Amino acid sequence: MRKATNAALAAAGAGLALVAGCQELVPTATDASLIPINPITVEVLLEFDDFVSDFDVIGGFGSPADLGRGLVARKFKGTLDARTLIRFGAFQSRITVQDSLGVSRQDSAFTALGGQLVIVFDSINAIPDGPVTLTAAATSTPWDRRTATWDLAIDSAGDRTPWPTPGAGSSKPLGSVLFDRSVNDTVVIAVDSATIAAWSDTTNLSRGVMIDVTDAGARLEFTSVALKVDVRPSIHLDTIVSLTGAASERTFIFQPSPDPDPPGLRVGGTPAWRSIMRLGLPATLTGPPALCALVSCPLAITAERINQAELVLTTSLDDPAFAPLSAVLVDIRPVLAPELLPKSPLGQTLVGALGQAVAPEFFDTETGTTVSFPVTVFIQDLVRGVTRLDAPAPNTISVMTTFEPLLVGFASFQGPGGPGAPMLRLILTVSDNVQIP
Amino acid sequence: MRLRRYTLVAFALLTLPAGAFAQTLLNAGGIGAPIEPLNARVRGVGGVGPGRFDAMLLPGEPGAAIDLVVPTITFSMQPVWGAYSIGDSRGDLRATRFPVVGLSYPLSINSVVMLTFGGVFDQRWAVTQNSEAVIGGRNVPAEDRFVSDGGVSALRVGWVQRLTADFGVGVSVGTYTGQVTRTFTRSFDTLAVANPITDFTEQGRWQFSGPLATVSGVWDPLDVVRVAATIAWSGDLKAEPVDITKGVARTFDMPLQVRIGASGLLRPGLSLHAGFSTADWSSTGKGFDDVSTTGRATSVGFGIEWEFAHFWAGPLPLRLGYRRTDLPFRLGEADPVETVFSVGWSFTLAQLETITLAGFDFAMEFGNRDAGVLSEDFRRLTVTFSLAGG
Repeated sequence: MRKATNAALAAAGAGLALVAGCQELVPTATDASLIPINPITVEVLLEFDDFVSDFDVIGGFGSPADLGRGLVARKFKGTLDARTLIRFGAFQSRITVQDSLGVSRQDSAFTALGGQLVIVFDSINAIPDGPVTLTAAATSTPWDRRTATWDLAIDSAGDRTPWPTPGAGSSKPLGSVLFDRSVNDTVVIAVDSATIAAWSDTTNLSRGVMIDVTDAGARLEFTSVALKVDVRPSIHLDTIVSLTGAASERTFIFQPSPDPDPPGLRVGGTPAWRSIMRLGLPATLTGPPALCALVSCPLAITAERINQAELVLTTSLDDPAFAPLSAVLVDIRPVLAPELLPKSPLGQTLVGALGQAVAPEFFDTETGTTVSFPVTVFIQDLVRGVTRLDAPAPNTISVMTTFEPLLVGFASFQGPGGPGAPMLRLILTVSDNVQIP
Repeated sequence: MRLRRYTLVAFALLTLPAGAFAQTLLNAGGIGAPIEPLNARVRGVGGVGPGRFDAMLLPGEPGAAIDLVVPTITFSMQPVWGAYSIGDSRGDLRATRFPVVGLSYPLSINSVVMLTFGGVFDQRWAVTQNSEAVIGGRNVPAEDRFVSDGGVSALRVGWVQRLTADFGVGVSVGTYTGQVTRTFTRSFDTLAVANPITDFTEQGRWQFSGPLATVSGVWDPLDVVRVAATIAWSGDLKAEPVDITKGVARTFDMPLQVRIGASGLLRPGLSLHAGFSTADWSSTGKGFDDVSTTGRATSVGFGIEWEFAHFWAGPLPLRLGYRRTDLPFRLGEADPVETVFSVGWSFTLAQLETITLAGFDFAMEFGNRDAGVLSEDFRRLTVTFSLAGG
């Protein structure tokens, strides 16, 4: 009997497992009358003054040295001058050559014969289409790649050293070359042996090369610079060896700087700008009449009712010389400690890791275009008062680029007071509570 | 030792969500579709509960456990397959539930105590519809979905006492238990907009409670006849909102139910069974917004059982039955009615004299529900496993 009982227990277990594994289907009707509530989804646009209590534009995030690109310009859009400063690191101290017996030997007594600066340009964003003249000059004043500006060679704490003349002036000319974006994307400028020898002294902070363009209206960015040095070994005097060194330090200086007090929002640029907004939503809505015709007013704004919140910005052209030439990747992040601005820590992106790309023509030929950025989670938290992790909800956002700096140019959006002022678009679903019959 | 093992199994089964799985769209009406906590033996002969000759554990039927002289655990599992049509909508039904779980222990040869757990109302159903929202001047498609998930169950303790050789009484008391979660979700088609729109969700959850009591009488006027009746009283069924539910609490006036059953032995191995139950649900739906009760709901069933062979360790009975049940809550205008034809059999694994120590009972029901706008055809298999010993 015990055997039978054990068999029965096993059978019961197997049956239970079998039935428990059956797929369940919830009987589902499509008769809308069975839904016991009647939700209404409405769209609400909040004007700037209804959701922004404080607004500021802050610049200075990052430096041209962080961009990883060079910039040269001459009266671009009638105003912008820019030059690039480059410094190379130590060259190889030894080379390997074969002696007369064919044995490889180390040679540290080689002689530099001269070199070439090889500059690769971003030919897509080069202005103008035709040829322009580029010049190279050796700097003769100590300069700091992180703090150098058009007027100052060094601008660090306790040391403000101006250039002899603004714009890294008084540099020693090395040569010039024509660049035509329709022909190629690379130029080569010869460098004499004396300059190469001077640049080999890495303790000399005045060493470096300044790249400029001489044609008014030109603006070019370059992506890489290398210095090729030809040396003669002490072993085989009839042999020439080419050494290549990449730029170890690079920055650009420019003038004039953008107006530090822009009329609207400014996003990106180099150094980067951020637009800071402190938000606060009304507890209830009493209009507009079209809304109150659909739902009962006053309508309480609750986190549960918010399906979508978008910050709606209208593009503008702040400074033509700094209009972006490629897509701006706009990001929005919560400011976690507004009292620490501009150095406040920031929260997770509200837009996505890659940001939201805004086409460059929106800041040039198609200004006035409205662009919407998702801020749903932030607004839900703001209305709720706490985040989903029960932390106090931040009330300030930073509109910025995904990386800082990202581009030389910056995005501009219309500020408060005008027809294109920022707005907050809310998609709300309003419903009575679910009840038991 | 073995009893302890059985007890553990029984209480493990108690944790299963009786009534958590849907078997009919009529769950959308009122406070759900009633779950009859019947095992396979009763279903096989079209019964409604009381009045069978053999002792068994049934929730709300303490008298049925009379003469259950060895500790017993039992549970049923019930897969259902079917199809429904409501208006132009058609779909499949597929579910499994565990309507009967019980544990009994004899205090003496004439006295048994028991603990049972069974479903009362099934409230699992859903409805979907397509809708639109005007966003940014464009019509954005959306899907509305309302889901009710859960149900009402009952936990009871009972006692049955044989007072004389041909008469016994049983009582049980218990409480309603269970939860229902009702959720509305509007999902937007995010492909139609630039930035994602989060779903809108409105949800409420209620916990059920309320007292129950049952009195049963079992009478054998002849050696070949058994008559039994049960009066099931229920206090108000209370639905209390839990968590952050904004919906209000509700109280449902539950009716007194009367169940009568009888069996007659025509000759050894051949018996007839008939059952009848009734309850007036009129007052239950007084607070409903848009559903109404059918009033008095009656269930009638009858069947035959024939032990035509001996297989393995016991008899091999064949059962045939018919049952017609009024359901208490309408979905439309018409009163819903469930009609089933059933066939059942048993498989005894172990038997000591006349006491089944281990066995399976099976009942296959072929039925339909007609509720005017709603029509359902279904096949419902009930498998009951019983294990007894000390």
